[in-house]
Amino acid sequence: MRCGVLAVLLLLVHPAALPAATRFEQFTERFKSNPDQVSVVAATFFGGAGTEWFSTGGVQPDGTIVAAGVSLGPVLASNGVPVKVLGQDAPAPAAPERIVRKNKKGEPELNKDGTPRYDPFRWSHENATGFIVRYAPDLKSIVSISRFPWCAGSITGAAIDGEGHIYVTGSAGKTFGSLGKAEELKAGDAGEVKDPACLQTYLAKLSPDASQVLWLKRIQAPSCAPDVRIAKDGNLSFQGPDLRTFGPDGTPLNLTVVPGGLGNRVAVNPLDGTYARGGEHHWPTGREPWRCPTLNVYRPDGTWLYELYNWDGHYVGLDNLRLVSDSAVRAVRYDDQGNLIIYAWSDGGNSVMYREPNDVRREAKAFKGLGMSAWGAGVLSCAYVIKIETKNFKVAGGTLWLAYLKEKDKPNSIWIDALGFADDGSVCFAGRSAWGLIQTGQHLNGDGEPAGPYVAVLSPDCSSLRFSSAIAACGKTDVANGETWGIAGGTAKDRRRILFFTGAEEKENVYDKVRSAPTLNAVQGTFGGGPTDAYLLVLDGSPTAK
Amino acid sequence: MAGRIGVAVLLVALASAGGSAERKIPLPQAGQEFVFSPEVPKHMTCNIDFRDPTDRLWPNFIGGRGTGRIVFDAAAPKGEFVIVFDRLNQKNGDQRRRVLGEWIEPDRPFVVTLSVTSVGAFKEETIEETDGKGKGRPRTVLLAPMSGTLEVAGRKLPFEVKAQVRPSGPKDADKVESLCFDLRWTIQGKDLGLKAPDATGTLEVYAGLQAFVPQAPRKK
Repeated sequence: MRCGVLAVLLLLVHPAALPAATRFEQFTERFKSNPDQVSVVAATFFGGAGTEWFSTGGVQPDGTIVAAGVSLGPVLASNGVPVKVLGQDAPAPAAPERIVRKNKKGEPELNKDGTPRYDPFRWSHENATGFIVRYAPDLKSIVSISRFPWCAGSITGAAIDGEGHIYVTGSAGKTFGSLGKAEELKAGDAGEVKDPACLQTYLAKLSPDASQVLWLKRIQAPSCAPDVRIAKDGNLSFQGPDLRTFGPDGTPLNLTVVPGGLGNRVAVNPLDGTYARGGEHHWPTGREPWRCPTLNVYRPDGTWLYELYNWDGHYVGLDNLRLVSDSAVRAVRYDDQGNLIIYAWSDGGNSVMYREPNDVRREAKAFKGLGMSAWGAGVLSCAYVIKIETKNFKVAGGTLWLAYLKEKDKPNSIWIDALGFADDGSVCFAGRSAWGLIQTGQHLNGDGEPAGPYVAVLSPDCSSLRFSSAIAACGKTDVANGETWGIAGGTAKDRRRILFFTGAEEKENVYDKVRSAPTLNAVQGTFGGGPTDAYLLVLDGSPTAK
Repeated sequence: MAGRIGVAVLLVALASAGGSAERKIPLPQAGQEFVFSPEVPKHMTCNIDFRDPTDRLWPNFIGGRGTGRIVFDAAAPKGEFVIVFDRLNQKNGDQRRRVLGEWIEPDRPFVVTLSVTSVGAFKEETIEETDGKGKGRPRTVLLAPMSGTLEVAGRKLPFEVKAQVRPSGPKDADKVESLCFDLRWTIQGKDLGLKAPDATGTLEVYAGLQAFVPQAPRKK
């Protein structure tokens, strides 16, 4: 009774408690025009009658934007620009067959409108043919298009050095030999690799204009989608069937075998070569959380350095803790400063993810973030984005990331499907949201519902939302290891770019509004045909951008 | 506006003072027995934590179970029990940054034992408690003196501590199902034989123990 009276009085006296001011409205208002917002430079399609997507890329020293991806054929659109074929071309494949997704009973899954739901096309497809599009720094034109011989292999990772050379990696396909003479590298004794998606990978160095393959290496061993990164010392860090370091001239320098293989839950610290693996551990009695997060850090030689999170489920279920929300680490990255960035999924707000990674009884003070909370939630999917410094392994920033209903002050589910960072340490991610995505003022979603596929950028300490927008019809292909977007940062001539790469379908029904992916300052403003087009979103996070 | 906020603050304060935040479960009847068992309930019931108050070293958290019993009587309780903590958390990898790290080796069991040989009268006392923001506030709690031995890696240290006691029960009934004891005290790392530079000084120990009435435990 007293609580009821109190609630009524509070509604009268406290504006924030008024029913109209739901958290959806409060957060939307707060991030409508915050001063650290990034601006949208361009959003464009690339593609035609074939099937294609962008997966990765970067920025060359002169500001040229490199977008690399995969075509499944049978044609690659060129927007009138000549396509340079690297190596000896091979016959174009037939159009790829769409596979209808089936449920556990083997029945086809259907969309709301009764149309079949398809499995996404994947980077490991047998038709996979890598291609590279270079856009002018102002994003108004295409400078060049290069393509591998048909079916030579995918591009899942890319890096650009200080001279503009483009390093690309991916799965090697059936006509890989047509790309050029590759040095065959011996596979490390990797033991069992869980669910390898491809049986051979490559690493190539291309000339800055992407017209020549300068060197090419192949490893015939089961692997996840490979990736490449340039370390602080200028050497290449290659993540494929194992971890390898190469000099810029391709000289192999180091090899580390990672038991269980790699994937998006393993990341290498560019500063010291240590690497981290995230995951989950299951516990049985029914009183503790079933899923508990794991995050293990290893030395470059593969020996175990630190075990973080992974407290015994029985322990966190104790009456004096009761941190019983299921939680799991679903993505791991290191930024250029050597900070670990993780995405943890959880089914609630009562999660160990609020705690320091090595101290379950201490709340992480730096985990203040956007101020989102899960109160009022039922069981749902929450996203925890956490930045961990790697000297003492304390949380350096982080936030709970949720959608919120508008009419009822209640959280709603959200997921992250890809995680990355910008040059200034801003945390970038993309995923899917139930109704109630918090969008920033410069969003591209028009009058579309705040839901469905989205991209977002947080400040380096995760306390400010620099960009968030629903991007309908995007994130429809598996660009690498189940991730539906690629993310890259790059700075040239004082312009700090943040790049999002993906595959887009023509349209998507998001809460009964049928929409296409938005475009802005686009070289190609409309969907070009075929099952998917490549899609590139370029943001400017320069200090002077606003 | 300021007046309205003032009214709101007052109302919140009144509601808090009403004590709705913490459910008061009555004390058990004199003679009620509570047991520590290695098998029942199915879930873990005890923990012991070791912490470096300077935070230079990372803490150790160990779960465990007990054997023994307490017969409740506020004035003259009887109790003797042994808790074996053998479920070390974060036991893999380099342990040198942890409080007890120098004793922890891969694939070797690590066990801490707490033997309670005496339980004194339960009394309400007002203690100064620090909230999450570091602010002190008085709170009345139930305390019971306990003494016994802490054994770590073969070294035994006697302890005497006032344990904070909390009766606990199912959400939907005002009956006691278990007694929770929080024991907090400090030790000197060197007395345990620790030699690592940051581990020889003062260390904080926190043991959380839960004893249940002898019936079958509640199901989830």
